[in-house]
Amino acid sequence: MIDTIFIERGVVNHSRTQSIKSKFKNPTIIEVDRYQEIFNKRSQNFRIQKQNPALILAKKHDNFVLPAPSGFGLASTRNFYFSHMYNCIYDCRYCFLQGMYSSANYVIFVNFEDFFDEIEQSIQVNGAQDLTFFSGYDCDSLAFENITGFAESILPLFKSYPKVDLEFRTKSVQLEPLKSGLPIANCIVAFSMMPEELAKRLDKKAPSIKRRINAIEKLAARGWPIGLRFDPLIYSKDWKQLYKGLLLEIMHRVPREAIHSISHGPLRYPKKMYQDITKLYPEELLFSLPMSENNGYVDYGVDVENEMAEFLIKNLKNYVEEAKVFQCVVQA
Amino acid sequence: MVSDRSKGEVSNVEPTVCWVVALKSEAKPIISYFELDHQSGNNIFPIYRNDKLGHSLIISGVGQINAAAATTYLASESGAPPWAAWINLGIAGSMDGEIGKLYQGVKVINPTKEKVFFPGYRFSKIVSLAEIQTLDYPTPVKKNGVLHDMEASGFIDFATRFSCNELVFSFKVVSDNSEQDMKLIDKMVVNSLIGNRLQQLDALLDKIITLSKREKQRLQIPDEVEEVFKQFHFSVTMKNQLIQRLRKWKIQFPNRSISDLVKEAKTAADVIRNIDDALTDLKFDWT
Ligand code: SF4
Repeated sequence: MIDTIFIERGVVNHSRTQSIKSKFKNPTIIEVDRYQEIFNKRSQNFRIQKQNPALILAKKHDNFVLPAPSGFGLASTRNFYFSHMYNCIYDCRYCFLQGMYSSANYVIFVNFEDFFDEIEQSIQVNGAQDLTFFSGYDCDSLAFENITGFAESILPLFKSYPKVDLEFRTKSVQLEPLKSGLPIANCIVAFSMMPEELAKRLDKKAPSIKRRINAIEKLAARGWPIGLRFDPLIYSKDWKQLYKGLLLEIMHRVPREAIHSISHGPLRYPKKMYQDITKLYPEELLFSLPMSENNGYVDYGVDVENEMAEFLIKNLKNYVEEAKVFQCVVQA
Repeated sequence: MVSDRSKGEVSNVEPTVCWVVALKSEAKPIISYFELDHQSGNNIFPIYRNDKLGHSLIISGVGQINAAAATTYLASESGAPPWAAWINLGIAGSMDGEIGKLYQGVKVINPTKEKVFFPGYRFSKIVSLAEIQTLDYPTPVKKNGVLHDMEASGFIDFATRFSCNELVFSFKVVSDNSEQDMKLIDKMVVNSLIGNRLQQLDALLDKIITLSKREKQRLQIPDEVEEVFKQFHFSVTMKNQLIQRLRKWKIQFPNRSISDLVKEAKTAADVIRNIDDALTDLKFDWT
């Protein structure tokens, strides 16, 4: 539970600040001038902060919408992302956020409307089709929904642009407002998946795969388009068997018609980020396994990456058409 | 009831706790509780230690510049490791705070308001959290929820150069408020204000030491590595490579000795290659 909320002076009286504050019992409230005073400072320790993150409520001033890194998107010609929140309530061992920020506190930008305005501007500039907007690049899109109400606020916007896609990427099984709302054909709920045996070791504090599949089943039954994200693909001695088991379970439980897209991507870090994360968790098994540096990235190497990708594509063949399967490899 | 730590029954030196305290009267309860001995031979800042418990305490004198200088001095004198916890303890003024209540400063502003710090892992279950305004002169507080002191910002500015921000703490006991004048504070009062909070400080220390121990596990170079350094010539880069690889190797082979890898080696490069070979052979067994 959040014990402390740092609030930028400029948003103290914002209605969303008040509403978020009211969700917590007796937090200590401390005012700050700008969130950067406290977030991501020299000598902060992500690992210790992660044991008791504070909440920071702030206003974002610019760069609400950014082009997605190459290799991140799906079929659309242009892909964008936005982050109404930095950091995540889960603690996946491979998460790149722990290498990106020195702070594990959660930042929420309360001026959602400015995000929505810039999204609309991007749609107008780029034409209202062949665009995908990704939520949840610097956080989990839905995990904090009961506190922020972000998804609920943004859905009406995308309802009015039926040819522009919005993706919520999540591991959360907190399904409101989706479960009780009518599905929107261009709003995709994309779940990150990996075999349960690996998730138990790596997806710390996140819902189990079993619970994620249950959630997918419910949303699919409501008619929401489902994305499956096998990203990162984690190598292990028996990875084929583990991934095969996962795919069979999904195929058995989730009707193919519900699948909007499936994407997969290798475990891969920029070199500096890999060094920072391994320093943070030197005892972590994931980072003791052989990975090598290739073109500034640390990864399993192209052979393993290809083998895993091909295996997945082959095993998905009877489930969805190939055009729905994408490989996501973020490049420098 | 105070813990056994105060009786010197814990034998390990680590983790190190470094106290920076402005006045002797503020330090006295800590000195006696942890049975700290005065270190002879330094006159600038008196230092007290209990090596058995791993505590060092320095008396800085009043003011943020003294606090900064004393912090730096203690870091060099004690050889505090990067997992040491740093604690600034003292009295502070408040407007609405109850006299004698202990606070953890989670936002600390320097006198010119140019610097703001957010130190320490927060222990809100044990202690109330507060904002501290460090000032150059004693000044009555005019804002609720804010404490006034004269050292915290100077201390934090420097202590965070020796340990991470989350292991640097400022704890303050309210000594005066809008109803009780600061002129009434004498040495005896200060001594008892701090002395009355020892039990709460002890509970905090338990948690702080746990954090520090975990940081030690993360950062400490294993003794075995030092042994290998002695046997071969390693450049600085190679030393770092060896440390990184050995950490991985230890995760995979917790029961094997490094001597297996060193036995056949003739050079530092051989040692690194041997570890690489051992790590490449792994079968990624997760289950
Ligand atoms: S759910 Fe995503 S953002 Fe959250 S910790 Fe896991 S990988 Fe990181």
